[in-house]
Amino acid sequence: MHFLSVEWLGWLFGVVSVYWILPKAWRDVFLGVITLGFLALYSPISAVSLTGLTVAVYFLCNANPLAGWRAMAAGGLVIAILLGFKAMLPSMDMEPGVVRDFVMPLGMAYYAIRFLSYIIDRYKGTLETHRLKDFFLYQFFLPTIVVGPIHRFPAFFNDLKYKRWDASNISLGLQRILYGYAKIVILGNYLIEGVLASHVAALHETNAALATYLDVVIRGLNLYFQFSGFSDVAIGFALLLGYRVMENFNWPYLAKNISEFWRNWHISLTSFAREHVFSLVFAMSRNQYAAIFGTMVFIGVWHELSWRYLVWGAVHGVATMIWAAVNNFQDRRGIAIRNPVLRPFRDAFCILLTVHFVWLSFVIVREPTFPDVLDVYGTIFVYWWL
Amino acid sequence: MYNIFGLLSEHLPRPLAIALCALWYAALFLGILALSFEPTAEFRYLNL
Repeated sequence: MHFLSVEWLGWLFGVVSVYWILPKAWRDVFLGVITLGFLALYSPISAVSLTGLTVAVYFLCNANPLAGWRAMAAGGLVIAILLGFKAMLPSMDMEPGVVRDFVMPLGMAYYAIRFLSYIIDRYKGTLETHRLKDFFLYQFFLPTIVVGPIHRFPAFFNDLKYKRWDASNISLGLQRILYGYAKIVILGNYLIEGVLASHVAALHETNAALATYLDVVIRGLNLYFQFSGFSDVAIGFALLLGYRVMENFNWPYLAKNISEFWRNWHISLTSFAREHVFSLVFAMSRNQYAAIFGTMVFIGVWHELSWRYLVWGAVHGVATMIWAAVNNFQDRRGIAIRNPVLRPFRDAFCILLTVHFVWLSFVIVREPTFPDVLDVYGTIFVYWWL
Repeated sequence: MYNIFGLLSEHLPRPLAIALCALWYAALFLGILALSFEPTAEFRYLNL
């Protein structure tokens, strides 16, 4: 059964129907058991690792106040398991396959962040009293288990306690699922990967530079439509169950600078990184630029523990540092374009510059080797100068 | 962004907003059906 297939959709509506028919006390237990069954069927290693980590982290953090060593042990356990699996990845076939899908936990990078967020909140003492069952249901929340968004325990726990049948939530949920499918199927698969990509493929023989540039644009657009489409489906699915999950995107390709882009792209991850990584590095270094760089490198290696993602994170770190420096300089000198005629042109230029930087940076992580990355850049840029 | 009905009902009579909304959702749904539910390419944002 493919994720988002007709069978999957039928299964989704079946789960939602049974969920609301069941007595209130059984609904979330049913959802947790269904998620466990889903993982056991499609990724047994995920079911085992997630169950083990959930129990271990809950009991390690089950103290008030939580001692530092307990929080460190729980966090260290999560990070060690995540890094262990991520380190194994480059040695395995990069194409999804039976062996890799069986060995690699499904959605582990997502639930690792959920664990870390929970541990930090427990350490700060900001969480309400809850039971192992509540924490288990949080980790085994079906809508977000595969591709996020990374929702937080406090919001989940609040919905767990107070959610009720609400027809407007059902309507909103169906709407979001429809939009998600439309982004994936109509915009991503058909228009971008189908129609536009076939035209660009024909262009390669006559104008390699333009075709390579358009390939980069296609990949950037398709990534957004696919990823935000999946997020819409997850948010919609959660709404059908009475839960509100954090938004993940807010028109990121219309950002006027790289900092704004990262506030609007994969928001559930970047908000975690801003709150916990940026704050931590800034508290230790008292340096805004070091904190920015550290945060972007963290975001890079969170995706994959490899040189290419490290370089990708570092490139974004440097770009965000440059923007922060420009912004600080403008603020100090009071430099701003106040002419209402010029401002739209300035904004359009900034949007184009930002989005092209983002799309071109995706080449670093999309191409298999660095010579291939340089080859793409060479074809796009050097061609025009020759 | 997603609340098309709210946007339409601000500027149009309610029955017309409902009709346009229904048409919009029907078009999206039929478009998805026509183009197949199955994603043509495996989406894997993360390797893990």
